[in-house]
Amino acid sequence: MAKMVIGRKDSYILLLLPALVIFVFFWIVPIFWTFLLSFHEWDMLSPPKYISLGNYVKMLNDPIFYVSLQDTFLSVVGVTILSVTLGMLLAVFLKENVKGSSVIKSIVFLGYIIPMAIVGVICLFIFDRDAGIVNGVLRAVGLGSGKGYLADPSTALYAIILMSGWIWTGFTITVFSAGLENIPRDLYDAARIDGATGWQILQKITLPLLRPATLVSIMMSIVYSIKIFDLIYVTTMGGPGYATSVLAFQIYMEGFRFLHFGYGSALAIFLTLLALLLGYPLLRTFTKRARS
Amino acid sequence: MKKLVLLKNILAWTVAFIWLVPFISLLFASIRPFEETRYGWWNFSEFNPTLKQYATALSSLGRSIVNTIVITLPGTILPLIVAAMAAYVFARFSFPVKNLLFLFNVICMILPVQLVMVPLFFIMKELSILNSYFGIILVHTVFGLPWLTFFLRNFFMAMPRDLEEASQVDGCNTFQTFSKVVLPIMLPAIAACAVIQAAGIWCDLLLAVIFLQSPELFPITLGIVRLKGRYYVDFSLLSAASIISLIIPAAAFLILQKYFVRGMISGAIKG
Repeated sequence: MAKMVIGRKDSYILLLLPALVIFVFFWIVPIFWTFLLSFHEWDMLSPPKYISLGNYVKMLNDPIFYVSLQDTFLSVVGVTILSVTLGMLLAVFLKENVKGSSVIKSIVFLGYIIPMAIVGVICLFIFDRDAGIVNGVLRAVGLGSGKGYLADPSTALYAIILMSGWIWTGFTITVFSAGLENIPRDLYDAARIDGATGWQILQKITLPLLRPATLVSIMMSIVYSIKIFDLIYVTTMGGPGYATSVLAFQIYMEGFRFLHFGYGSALAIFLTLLALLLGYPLLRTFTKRARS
Repeated sequence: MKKLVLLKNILAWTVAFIWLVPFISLLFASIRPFEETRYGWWNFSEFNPTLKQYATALSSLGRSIVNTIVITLPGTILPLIVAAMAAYVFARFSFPVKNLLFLFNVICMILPVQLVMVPLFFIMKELSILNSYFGIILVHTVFGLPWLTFFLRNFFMAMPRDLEEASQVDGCNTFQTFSKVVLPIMLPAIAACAVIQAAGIWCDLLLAVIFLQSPELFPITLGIVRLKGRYYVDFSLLSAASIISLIIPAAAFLILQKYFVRGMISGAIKG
């Protein structure tokens, strides 16, 4: 009996220890480090110089920062609306008697599991001026572009958004399908006996009961789309100009290309605050569920 | 009524077809020389199918494929072990700063990599593990840990305590209970997490870009980026390379679909 007590008291700390070490040295220390760096000027050549809020002042006066912010905002809104709407429509539609609906679902999901780097290659390919099918189809109806959609600053970001939305629908359709599974069949049967039409059932039963799935989809889409990096790295490198230079990408450029570690850190702190703000509802659901 | 059903089917399969167009593009481009498809793979005035692109892609990506496997396996197992142990403690024991620590864990789940990448870069450099297999595996462990711990903790919470109590009565200590009783029962949940973590590593580009510099260590995603020329892009070669690198996750998904979906959903909805 004594052994058991000792076992319970002591060894659970040992189980926690590896995770604790990783959290302290690879999460907490780097977070504070970035925070401190954001008050310094440092390019690796000379020692870091304390400049107080200099980097943040620079950020607020930097026109490129506002372009990045706009790119980020557009892609978060665009990807979220696109993938949540498509995911919901497809999941509800495939619930009807469609032959091979599970195959179609797998096809839609397929996009979600292929590497974003490959999605980047696909994006370069299908939006190419000559070899791409998008321009091929549009040319056939007389609307072709002479530039290629990723090379044109007015369309590049939309091509990226379309591609990310296409991929992320693989996630949302799965969430919505699971949400539909959770709706009891009796509700539908009862509604049909009462003579409800398909449209009424959709409006009064399906959509209201899909509310949790919708919220989860929206929250996850926001957190996903604020971090899009790979796709831009493979396709446009933030260009043409700064047309696709979302914050998550701009931070990489400032840090690892221009060696502006201080300014990059200030941008990273800003992105983090933005992610925490937009991700707050998601955090709440996570912790609320954790307590119950 | 019959007409409506037919219409629905046609509509659904049209959507599926549009969804597949990018993949069909890859497939047709990959089996034809680029000279033929430069102005669209849908032009069939000349049609000389060839597997030459696959051979070229395989020979230049071979090393990257091996690298990806060498990184993915330990990069999945290591964080799973660490997270499973921590998750068990979070689910079953109470200690002073537990709630604070768990809140931090949850916050880490949505923090962008960009927040910590510069300091991590220098820490790795100091430890001389920058640009090494071990380094990148460690980084994947760092970024896998928060969500793995969170998912597994939720699974542990849902597990009845009876068996653990029985094993304690039989004289097992915490570690024995954990490894001999808890882990075997949790295997399906752990498998679901493993599949998602492995897929994440297979698909990773950002961490490889930052923490690896030698081409001989590059995973397949970076290998493909290197195949892309700066001014001239051979889409036939890139398509073949893309198909090679997406065939493994796609096959894995088809086989492990059940685990995939369970892992995704349980984290997102049921919990």
